[in-house]
Amino acid sequence: MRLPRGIRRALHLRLTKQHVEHEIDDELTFHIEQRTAQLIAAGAAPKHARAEAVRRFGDRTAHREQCVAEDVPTFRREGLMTFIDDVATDARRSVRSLRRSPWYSLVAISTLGVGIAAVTAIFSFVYSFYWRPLPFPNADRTLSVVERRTNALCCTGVTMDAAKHIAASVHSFDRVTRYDVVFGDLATGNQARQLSTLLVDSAFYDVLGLHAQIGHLPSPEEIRANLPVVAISDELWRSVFGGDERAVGRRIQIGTEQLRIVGVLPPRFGFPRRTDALRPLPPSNADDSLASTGLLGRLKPGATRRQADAELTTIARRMHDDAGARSTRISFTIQAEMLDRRANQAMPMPSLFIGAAIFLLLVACSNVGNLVLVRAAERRSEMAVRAALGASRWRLIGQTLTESLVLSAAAGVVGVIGAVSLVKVGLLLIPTQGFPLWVRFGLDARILAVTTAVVALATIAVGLTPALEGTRFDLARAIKAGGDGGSLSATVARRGRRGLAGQLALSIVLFIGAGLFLQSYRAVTHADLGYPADHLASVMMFFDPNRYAKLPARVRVAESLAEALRSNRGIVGTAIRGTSGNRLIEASAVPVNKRHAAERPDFRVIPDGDTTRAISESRLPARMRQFVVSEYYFATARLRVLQGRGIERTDVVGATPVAVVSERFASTFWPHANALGHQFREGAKGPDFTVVGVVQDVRDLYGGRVGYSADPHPDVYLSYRQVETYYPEVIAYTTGSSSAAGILSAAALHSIDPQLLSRTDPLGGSDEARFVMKIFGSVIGTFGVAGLLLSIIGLYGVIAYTVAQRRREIGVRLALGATPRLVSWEIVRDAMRFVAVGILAGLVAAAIMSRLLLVFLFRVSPLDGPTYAVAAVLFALVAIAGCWVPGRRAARVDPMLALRAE
Amino acid sequence: MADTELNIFRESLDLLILKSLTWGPRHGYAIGEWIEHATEQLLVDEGTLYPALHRLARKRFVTSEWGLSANNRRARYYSITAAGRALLRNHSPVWQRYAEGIGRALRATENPV
Repeated sequence: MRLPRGIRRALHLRLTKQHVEHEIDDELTFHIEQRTAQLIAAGAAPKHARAEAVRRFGDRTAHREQCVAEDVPTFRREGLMTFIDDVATDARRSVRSLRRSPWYSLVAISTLGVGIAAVTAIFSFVYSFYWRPLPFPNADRTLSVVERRTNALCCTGVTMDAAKHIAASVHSFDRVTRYDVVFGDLATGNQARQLSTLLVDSAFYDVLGLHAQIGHLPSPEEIRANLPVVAISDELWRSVFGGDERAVGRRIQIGTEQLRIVGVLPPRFGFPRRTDALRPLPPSNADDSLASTGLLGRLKPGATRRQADAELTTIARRMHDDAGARSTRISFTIQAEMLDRRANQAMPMPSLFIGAAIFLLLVACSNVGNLVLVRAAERRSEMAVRAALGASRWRLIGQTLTESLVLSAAAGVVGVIGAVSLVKVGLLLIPTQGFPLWVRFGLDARILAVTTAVVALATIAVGLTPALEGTRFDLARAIKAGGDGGSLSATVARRGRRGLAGQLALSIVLFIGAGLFLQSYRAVTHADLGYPADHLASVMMFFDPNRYAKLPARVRVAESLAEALRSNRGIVGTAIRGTSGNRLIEASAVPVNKRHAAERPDFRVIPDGDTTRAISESRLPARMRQFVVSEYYFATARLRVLQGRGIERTDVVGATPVAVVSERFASTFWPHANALGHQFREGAKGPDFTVVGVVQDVRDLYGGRVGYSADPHPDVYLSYRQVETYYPEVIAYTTGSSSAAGILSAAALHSIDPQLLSRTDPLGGSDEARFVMKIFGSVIGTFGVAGLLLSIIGLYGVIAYTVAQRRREIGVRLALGATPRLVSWEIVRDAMRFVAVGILAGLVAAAIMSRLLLVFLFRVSPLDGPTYAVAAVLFALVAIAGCWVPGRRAARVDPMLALRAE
Repeated sequence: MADTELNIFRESLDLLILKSLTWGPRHGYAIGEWIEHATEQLLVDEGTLYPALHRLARKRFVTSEWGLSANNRRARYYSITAAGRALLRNHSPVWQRYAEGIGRALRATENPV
């Protein structure tokens, strides 16, 4: 018997090819029988009539085959239609059934949504920051080269010497270009803003594939002649000139120079980070071989990074050999993308962020998986009835999976909306000032593709087990039992518990990670650095090696600036500080550019001329720093002189070379004696310095690949009147925030030397450390709390389900005299067994995984006892609460009702 | 049967089937009966009706439905669709002209040129 199509469809009985053939046979047989009957009626003998009918029908097999051939395409089309129809029906049915249980849907969708939002937001953040292709045509072939020297004072690029060698002999590069970045103020009305100006040579455009938006970029001729021309950024063009094309040809003053605008840079261009203006790079001074410069190389088509690396190593060796056997060690590193994407060295590894998000997603999936499993158990009789009516198992699995898909698709929508808002909120919280302009945060196809993949995975993770388990049954038993055949509730209980233990473990790992970060954050913000870092600003000047060939001239400018700033309201004190080697100021100062490379062949600190007690710098417990300071320095930086005296005005050339050392330095070299009066030298040939004072230790927080450290450095302070410094800075103590010093110093410097460019930064690296701690801590913290909440919801759900399943048993026991208290206690105890397993597993996993965080932690051990204890206790308490509620409900079961229900 | 004959035959059979259905749904056997009466000829090969019917069904000129025959047997009933009617309307005059043309030519007694 054939059911009408509508019913067949409703019951999900599919047309098969056999059905088609069967119908054709029926039809043909009917014809022959009709003909036979007609012939008999006309008087033929039945036997002949039948033969005649068959004869008149012709080749039945051929006709049948032709009919089948005609019907198959129709059948296939209908099959496809049926399939689409089925999916649509399933989807509609799922939506209906989800709407019938709004709480279940709400919890499942929001839980899964949280997980998907976390993964999408984190992925889009990490992707935007690290992986999105750069908006420059040659981005993937452009490499920046950074030189490292053992005695380097600075180095963001390479020395001029190296630049020359690289341009001449690295054959993997087809173009090499130099650049520099300087800072200067733009005066607009009565406001000044600091501009970052990129100085380039004529090869730069080719290497980056850069073109002007309007007008032209400084041409090779203009660059060669070093003309005062400039191309301004799109942002500057719009904000200052209102996007007027007539801006080209006008003049602007940057710092102290009048520059003619020749063009506008393309929108969003920033190199290596922000670029407000682009100017010709002044011709290099050939003699200043140690001056540093940025260097970019463009790989030849077909050349690899490895080849370039090898060539650079050869050059480094040759430079080293040229300089003689005792020369400094030189090495080059290539940065994959020319832009220091990971400028912030301590930017956490993306994998950690993504890992945390995936953890949360796993918790969410496992949670929703349990919910779906419970639901599948409840709907077993419905499935059994459908199976009895002829629905195939695949059909039922398909339907269950469709419901999971509807769930996770809804969660995907919630997740994407959540992710977009998370990124928006995140960007409000994160200071993006230092970010390169090309870092754009937004959804794009790749991010959506990842989300889609995540949704698909979630569907399978959440729906597969219930789909397989919920449709496997012994029909007769399942229907007779009026629902559960028994095996599924066992599955729910088993998997539910296992899943819950896993969830708790994952959540506790997140939670502990967050705890460690937040403690680090507290430690960083409360760390006593030994000086008021927030109030100190350093003004750095960019001395032109030609105009400031002699170091005393530089010091004079710094002195004038320090003097000028001191008279400002808001600035309490100023001092001069420079970092340098240990070369005493000689009577006849040789110009910088006529000197040989400053070499420090010997990196030992030798106390009291005793080489047996010498300690090589690299073996010191913390990096040794050497400052050349003025007499006001300790007062300005609020550093207490503990013994002896500070640097004084009388420590001049001709007097005994003196040093003030930090406590750490003193205790390192004279652990058992008072350092005062002792002498030390750096390197066997260095001058002897006499220790005249001991000053308190200073801690600086520098994040990096080796982690944060607040270990005091062994520091040495020398007199700037006795020891040379190449780059004297002015340190200012401001009553307000240190950033105010920038504007003041630019103005003051203008009256001292209108051509001198400068840059003002807050002193100390703690901001960066705080930033990382805060962002990382709050992200992981949010994940940890979300994980905890989800686990609790899951716990509650599974316990409540178990209680519901055991109603009958509980009823019997209550009827037989068990006290309600005992019953709820047993339920809690039962649950606590796997809660304990989860918590223990989590603690162990956290202990293993927190090692990954070591680099980001500050004064907190990755095995910090209290953090682990708090997490364990908190989770245990919350878990007990989560079990207690359904446990209590179980105890309130009315024995009569429970028994009658069966 | 050669291809040309087949095509002509097939085309004419399609039109006859469609014509037979203009009076209402019929099963295959009834269609065959109608064609025999209407053309006053026996169908040589009754079975050929069915591939034709299924082809017309695939092309959506007819639809089919299972129903009960006069003697209470289960039979597949065909009915003509709007597309089928349109085909019949458009092709009938062509066929009439064709058949008459062929007939006149075969009856011709003298060379008209």
